[in-house]
Amino acid sequence: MADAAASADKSIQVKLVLLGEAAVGKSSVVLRFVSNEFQANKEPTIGAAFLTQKCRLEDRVLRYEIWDTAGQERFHSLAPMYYRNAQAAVVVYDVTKAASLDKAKSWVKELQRQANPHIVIALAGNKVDLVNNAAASSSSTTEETSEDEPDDATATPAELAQAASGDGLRAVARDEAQAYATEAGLLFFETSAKTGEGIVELFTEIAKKIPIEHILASTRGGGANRPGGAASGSNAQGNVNLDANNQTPKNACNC
Amino acid sequence: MTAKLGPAELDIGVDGGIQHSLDPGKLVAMRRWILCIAIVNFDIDTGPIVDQMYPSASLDAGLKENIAFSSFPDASSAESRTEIHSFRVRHAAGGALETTTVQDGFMYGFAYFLQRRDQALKRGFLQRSVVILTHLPYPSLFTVVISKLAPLYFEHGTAMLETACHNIANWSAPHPGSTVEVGFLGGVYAVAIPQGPDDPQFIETSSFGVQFDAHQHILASIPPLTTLPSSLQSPGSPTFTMAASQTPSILSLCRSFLPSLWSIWECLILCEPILVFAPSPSLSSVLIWWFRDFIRPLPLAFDFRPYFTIHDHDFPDFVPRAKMKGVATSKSAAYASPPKSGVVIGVTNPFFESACSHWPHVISLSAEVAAPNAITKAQTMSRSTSHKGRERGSVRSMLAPTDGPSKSRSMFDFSLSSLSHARTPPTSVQSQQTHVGPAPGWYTKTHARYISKDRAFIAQLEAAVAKGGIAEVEGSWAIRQHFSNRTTAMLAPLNRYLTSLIPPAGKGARLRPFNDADFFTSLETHGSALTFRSSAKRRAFYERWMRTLAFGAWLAQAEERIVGSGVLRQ
Repeated sequence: MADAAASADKSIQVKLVLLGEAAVGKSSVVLRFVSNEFQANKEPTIGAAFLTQKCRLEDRVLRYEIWDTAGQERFHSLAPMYYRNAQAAVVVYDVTKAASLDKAKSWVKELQRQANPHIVIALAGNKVDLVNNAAASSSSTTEETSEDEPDDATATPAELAQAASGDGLRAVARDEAQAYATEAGLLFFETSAKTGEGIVELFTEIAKKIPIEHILASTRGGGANRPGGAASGSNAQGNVNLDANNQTPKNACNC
Repeated sequence: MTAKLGPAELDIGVDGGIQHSLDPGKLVAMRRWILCIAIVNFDIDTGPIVDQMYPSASLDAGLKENIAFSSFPDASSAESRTEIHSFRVRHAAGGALETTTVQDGFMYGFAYFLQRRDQALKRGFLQRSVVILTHLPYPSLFTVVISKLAPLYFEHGTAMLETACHNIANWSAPHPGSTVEVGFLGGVYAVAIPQGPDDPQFIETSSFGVQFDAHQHILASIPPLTTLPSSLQSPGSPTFTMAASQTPSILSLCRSFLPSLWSIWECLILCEPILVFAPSPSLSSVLIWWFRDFIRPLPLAFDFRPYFTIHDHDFPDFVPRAKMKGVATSKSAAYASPPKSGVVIGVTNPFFESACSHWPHVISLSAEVAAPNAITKAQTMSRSTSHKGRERGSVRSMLAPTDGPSKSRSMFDFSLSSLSHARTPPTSVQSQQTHVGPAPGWYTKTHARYISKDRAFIAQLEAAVAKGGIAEVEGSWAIRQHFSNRTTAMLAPLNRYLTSLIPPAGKGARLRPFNDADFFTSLETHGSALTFRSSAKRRAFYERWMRTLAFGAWLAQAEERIVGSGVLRQ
């Protein structure tokens, strides 16, 4: 614990919030980043879950304090509580559901209107494994669409069946999302929490874009501005891998 | 300014879909910290009732009733207001609470009470408390938790309770001596857990050290801090921020009896019963938590109630039957007895003044401190119109002028004046002194002080009171340090003598018996760091202390520590 406390002191705290429609895989993206794991049939998030993960960037260590918000509509009004004071946001959509991009766009609008003006926003088109599989193999293997949260209203059995069938999977063209992201000034990645594709890159690029000097300056300014505060203490999450560099090379977050 | 939702929306959450249970794994994880979050409403027929518990918990009716009454202020004001206070109610180990670790036979409640006008309700007011129920006596932590949660609950409804419980379920276990990082409703805090319930926590010796930042670091077991982080305050809701920042400092609370603190400390050490009158549950509970903290590291050997109501099931233990004559009670289980030793209770109902006139030590707080809206303009509204058999003079005595000096304002006078100044802005009445019970101060019938006061320190404190602001906060910490040091100094001669009772290596597995005469010889020889008014007083003080429950508790704990440390086996 002493080690954890000591290294926490040196790292730069970055509050990051995940937003997006229900069942697009927000919690799975976080779980992949934090624990390098993937869980099929993850239960829906209630309110928001809190996790931490470190990310090395050149000679600096960023410590992400991640608020993984619930996608269910009934929790929508709680979102400001989580994106307030956040330095970064990941807005997630599902590449196989066109409507989820619309929802992502509305989150981006809300963030740009109401969040910290320096917030770094990344758009992530998740579940790209479903699309890749369809392209790579024409066989209709019963691919588990396990990122879908079972209780979600948006993931109808019909959609799941369609996804599993490998037909017409991609509902959002990469170019279309990329064009939108560029126009709106967002980072953009297609990701797969299931295979890990794009996940580390996503968080690494965010780390690069975070105005670290700005955070450090505001921290020195006093404790009222929480970002970057030298929180000590052990990790709240037992399964958090404190050192991303100890993971497989593919997942190393050392840019 | 105030909450957006009406009571109906609050009850069903933002758009329904609330599940009243957690999955078993999460429930177990959450219950390491809290039992549940209760919502207490005012029922026009029965008074306060526990309306909802998230997650659901099976508590027996008596305990629920105790919780309900302890969650509401005794005396209400007509103003829209919020107030944070805490309480401690007895519950038997085991039974309905088998899923919670019962630590000391009591359950702790941390309540956030909201009242606002609502013409849609029959009573004309929405009155509701959000209450954290827990077995952990961590006032500092749970004051932060409730002041963050409750305003959001009043804004967003039941979904917040769900969210809060899921957050808490993700916290690591509160292992003794650990520092746990907790994420709660968008905030992140580092919480230092004490080694044991009787170990005092200090910033200097905590894992935070010089980096301590009150905005994000919490010493779980200390009394609530005077000021709470601005990050905890809900934006755009002045009524909510007030509650979060209203926690008074110990210095401001004790201002009217600073020179008596040394006597009060002695009474706490000697397990004397002390009755505290306060104008509000929040002031009462804060003071009682400070008192509880003063005696660390001495094992807790008295019962303390941060906020005690006449409806508490232990009421008959504290108020003998003779004192309840003439008060309508249908099922009084009271028996005549002097107050128990080792009971420190905080009350806000003036009924206790006559009912507890036989108590030897009384403290009365003034409401001028902190001056939140919550404690000004106290207009008594009857708690209930039909409390069959539970009246005990509650409403009546609250409305009756008190017997105090004419200078004091009774609740009744006050209610009249607030009615006649209904349009006066709150600031104009904040300087008015209001109190319950006798005039502010310390009253003792029996206690003659043993130790010396520190006059230079009193002067410093008085200067700090005059200065106010940060000086007052620093003065409060100084008081805590001062009396904690005294408790340690008081124990030093005992610990010194105790080490002489360790048998030579291999000559026994227990300490030799504590011999009073030998101890006093040791005390005469080595003296004490604590300055007594005379050596006779010093001896008298220890003689008296050795007859209290505290002595037995200390000896048992000390012996256990020595035996457990393995010195006896070497």
